Amino acid sequence: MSFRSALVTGGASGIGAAVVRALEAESTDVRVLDLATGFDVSDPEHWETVECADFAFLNAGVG
Amino acid sequence: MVGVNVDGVVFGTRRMAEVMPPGGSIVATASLAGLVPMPQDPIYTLTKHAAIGYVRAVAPSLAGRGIRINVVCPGFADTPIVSAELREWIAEQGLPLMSAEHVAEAVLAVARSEETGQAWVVQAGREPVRYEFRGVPGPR
Repeated sequence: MSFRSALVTGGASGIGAAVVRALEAESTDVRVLDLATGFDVSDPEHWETVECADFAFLNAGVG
Repeated sequence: MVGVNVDGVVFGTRRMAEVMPPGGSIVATASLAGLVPMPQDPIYTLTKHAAIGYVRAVAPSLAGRGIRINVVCPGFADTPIVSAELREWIAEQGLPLMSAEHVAEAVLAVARSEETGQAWVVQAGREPVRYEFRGVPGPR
């Protein structure tokens, strides 16, 4: 089963980017939400712009 | 760190509860540091324990909307979050560093599983392993 649409936070690098690549290889429509592209997961207002997806990978993290 | 690691999961889950269609799946990234303490970084440990507790607690209400939510707990992976200093320590301990691709495969396997509210350990050389939490002693 592949997902039609997905969003990946922290999708610009690391585990997030690897999941983005794997999903794109299955032709899933992926939206990357990353601080590197101006999306702050800790700002509720940013989330108001996010539309539906079949799969959400809430992965953004700092160490 | 608490903002990104904890609020990011909470706000993202709340938004998905509003917009995700039934049959949707959410996976959050915690860490082994969400299950066992990482003395090198108590605050990181705090945030990852928090993410696991949140996912386990929120799963039943999402199930009412036909949405599954799980959390993955990877060991050390070869990604930019692992500092040079930590890499040195990992090598000294003789611990393996997983590829990001191995973790990604585990994430998608968990995303497609029928289970919800579960924490999955992701280690080198293994399929994702569902973590079994012990019950707590009851009153008497």
